[in-house]
Amino acid sequence: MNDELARLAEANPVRIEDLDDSALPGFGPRSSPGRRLVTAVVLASVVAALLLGVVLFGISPHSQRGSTIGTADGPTGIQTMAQAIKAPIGGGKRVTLANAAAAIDAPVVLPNTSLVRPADAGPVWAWSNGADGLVVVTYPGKVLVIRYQRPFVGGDPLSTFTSVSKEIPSSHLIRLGGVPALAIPPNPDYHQIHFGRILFESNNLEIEVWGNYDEATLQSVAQSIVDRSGDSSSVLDSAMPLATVARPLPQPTAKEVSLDDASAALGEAIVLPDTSFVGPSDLGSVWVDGTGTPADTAAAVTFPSQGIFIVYRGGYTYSDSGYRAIAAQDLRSFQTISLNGRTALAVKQNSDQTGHNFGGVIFALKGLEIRVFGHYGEAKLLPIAQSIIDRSR
Amino acid sequence: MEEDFQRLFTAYNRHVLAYALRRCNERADAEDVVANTFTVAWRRFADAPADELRLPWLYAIAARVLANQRRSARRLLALRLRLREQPEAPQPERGELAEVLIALRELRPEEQEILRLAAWEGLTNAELAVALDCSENAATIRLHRARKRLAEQLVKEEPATGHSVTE
Repeated sequence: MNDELARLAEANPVRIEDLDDSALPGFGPRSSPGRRLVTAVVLASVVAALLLGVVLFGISPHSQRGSTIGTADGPTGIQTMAQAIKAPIGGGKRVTLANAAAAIDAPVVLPNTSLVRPADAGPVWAWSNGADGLVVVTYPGKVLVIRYQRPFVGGDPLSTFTSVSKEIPSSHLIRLGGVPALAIPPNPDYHQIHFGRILFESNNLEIEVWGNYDEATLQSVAQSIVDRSGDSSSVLDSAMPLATVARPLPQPTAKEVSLDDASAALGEAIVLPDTSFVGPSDLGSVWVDGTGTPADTAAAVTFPSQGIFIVYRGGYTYSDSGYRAIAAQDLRSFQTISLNGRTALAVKQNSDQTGHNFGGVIFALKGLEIRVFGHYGEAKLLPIAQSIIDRSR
Repeated sequence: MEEDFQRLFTAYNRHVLAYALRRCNERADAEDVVANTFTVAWRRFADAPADELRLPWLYAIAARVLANQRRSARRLLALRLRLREQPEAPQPERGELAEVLIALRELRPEEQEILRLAAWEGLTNAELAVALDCSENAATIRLHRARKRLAEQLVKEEPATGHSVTE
């Protein structure tokens, strides 16, 4: 046993051999109240289960197959993936992508392949204790999960993956371009459910792509993350995937609503800018997307004549380090600025090489993250952001 | 089937009780876990894996029972005082053992649990896979990852002792 496991084993607070036999529950004659109580509960429950099954449903215990997530019966193999998508991090919480970046102190670079595009990303979960962080991005419609863990444990990735591959005979080392990675082919759990995995290191993150796909498919997803990690557009796309003035929330589930409805969905009144360049009377369309709770909701307003759109995301917790991490990742595209006494992010115009031509200012305000985007540079967009701040007071 | 189930109970009730005692503050709570675990096991006995994997299967059920107990505890203030939010083992008196438990608590709950299952319940990777309801490969990688994190945490907490932490 490895040293750390051996030490933990030594700290085992309850050893089976130390359990007092007289206190053990069991079938058969009992000698202690504790044993009688436990056995009585077990037997009573078993009998009750039998009777209920027979009387109410006319079935035997053998026919009670299938289970529900979150019940004591436990998940099945398929539900393991469902559970991973629904709540993949114990102790973690659902966050926005920007907050997720703060948890791992790095941008969350999403893949962009024929299988998964940034806009396909579903709920994002994060956990952090300050020093270490974990983010899980789920793709419920694709049965795919990507986890980003900081720091990468084990030092050199190649030697680490070599070490792991010795423990998993079916696994093998591959290269994602020049990046060493570990491919773990699908193998069944005891429910005969198959999920494959690709692990690799990027930006001191351990990134794992896993899902119900063959190795080649998972590898293409992992390769996309590697490719986009060095591509400035990927960071921007992660922040604003495929957004345009005509369609500021590119997710297919986004819908056009009234400003009041968008405010209600967001749980905060949407404050529009009012400057000499753009004001409430210039408002075009209003959009909202989310699952019903403010923390999972994004709203957007457009000003078509000015070529500007503003996105308001709910459930945002301001993090100085989150914006600094994004800027540090790509100095060509981002720059931290001070706005209202806090760190904000300026997105430089023309930073996106995929066809977008937006500049932007991203800042936090009253539990929202607000992104002002348009075909302009920081000088034009900053007063718009400041106006929103001023008018929100 | 009743005889099979009785054999299961006789063979493993001690193990499940130990598992529960390691994760509960109160013996009464641990006994509740045992009772509820075997009740669920009875209901799902038809789904039980092969004999050699039935103990980790029981641990998987016990983990769910514990989670449900904690959810109930959050709803009931009185129980909340008796149950901990996260599974935590009693602190040993000796300092060095306390260190490893403190390091353990710095990890994520899932990492803590797989390490406990490996170190305290003594499960193999194949058994971990059943207990955690994942593939053996997934269990292996999770354990590897958690082990590394525990080792790093131990180093962080005892930089001056020179205690050997190796793969």
